[in-house]
Amino acid sequence: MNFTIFNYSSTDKFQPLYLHESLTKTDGCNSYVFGDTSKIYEIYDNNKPDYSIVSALRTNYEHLMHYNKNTDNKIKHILNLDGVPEEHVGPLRTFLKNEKELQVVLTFSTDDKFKSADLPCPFVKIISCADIYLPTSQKYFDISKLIIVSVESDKKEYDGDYHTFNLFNENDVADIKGNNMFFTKICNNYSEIIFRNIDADNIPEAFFTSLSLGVLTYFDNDDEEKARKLQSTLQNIFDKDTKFDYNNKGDYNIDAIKETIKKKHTPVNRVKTILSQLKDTYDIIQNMEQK
Amino acid sequence: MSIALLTNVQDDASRKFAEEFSRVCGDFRINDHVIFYTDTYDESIDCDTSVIDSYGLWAFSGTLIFTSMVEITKFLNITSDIKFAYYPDLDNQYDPIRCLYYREKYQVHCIDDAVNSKVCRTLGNNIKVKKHENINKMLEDLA
Repeated sequence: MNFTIFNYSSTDKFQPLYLHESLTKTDGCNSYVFGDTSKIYEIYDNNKPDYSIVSALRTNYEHLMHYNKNTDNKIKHILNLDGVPEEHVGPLRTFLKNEKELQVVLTFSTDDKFKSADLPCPFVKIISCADIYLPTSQKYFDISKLIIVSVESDKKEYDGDYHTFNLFNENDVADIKGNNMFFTKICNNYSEIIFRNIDADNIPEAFFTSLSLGVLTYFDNDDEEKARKLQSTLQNIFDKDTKFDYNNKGDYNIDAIKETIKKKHTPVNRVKTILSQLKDTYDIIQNMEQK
Repeated sequence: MSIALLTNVQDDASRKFAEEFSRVCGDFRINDHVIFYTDTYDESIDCDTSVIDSYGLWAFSGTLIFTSMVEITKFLNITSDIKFAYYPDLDNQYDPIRCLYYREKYQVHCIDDAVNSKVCRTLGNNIKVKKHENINKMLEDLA
């Protein structure tokens, strides 16, 4: 089964890249990543995808629809909805109802809000996962904490030595800025990693990755209600007894969490979830289960 | 004892620091002092110290104060006869990861309170930071 994937990755989201990596390692699957839809004829003609994963926010649909209008072998698309704002959900619904040429067979997102969006095609929630394909590095130094921030208001004084790190945008608000790959390389130099003001609906990939590397990972939210919801979500995902709230520290079962991530929260698991929603993938999934 | 400063004399704050460095070296009667410039020479620099291109560092031995971690990385391995001293107060590209990566190669000397606080927070126990009251005290310690 052939896939093409539009590279909608950003500094903090490497999803298209780890899906690609996982698919290429899956028996019976091939994958090709592309970043420019203007060459879509060349890409689709050469790779002959059974499915093409594209982004609702970042991909130029015009080129994809132009291809499908002018070919007998129409390409089925899987649409990633991450980042689509609330006010664009209505127009997206209308667009998907009217524009059949795009052949959208599945939509997916890390965000729950699309479950109730009444889209004319199936939706599956794909939460973030630990990017096990990113290279790690040896330990060079010892610093107590790494604080992940994205805006000026996330900055807060902590005791002892620490670095602030902006993973999410180009703002110069932190000591260091970088992407998931850089984050993964420096992770093991810190005793604790604290994410400031993150949402239960959009837990960063880096949160999963640092846990998978065995680093005690916390959140520190200013909004208490959001903190309660996030704590509950993280307990459901990783471990029911671990306190992830930095302001309410307690038990931390890092070994159990690492085991859970290995079993349930890697790119392989996310690929299985996507494949399970598609036709003719039973054998591929069976092979994956046996590995 | 030779003492040198490596800095970008095109930058106003760095040029003023270089002039101050020259004056204090004169006051302390340090015979062998030199300023190495990165980027290009700035004729407006007002000092009695020789100001030469940073390529001259290849023939230098002694204590070298540098003001940019990015600039120094290309010189850190040139000779074992240079004792490197990082003065981060003027480094507008301060990057703690880069500083920690090369931590075996240099000492850190600060004057400004805010810079000292930031450097101590971000370098932790990995590198000792020496805080000085002023440039005189710092050069006294280094010379």
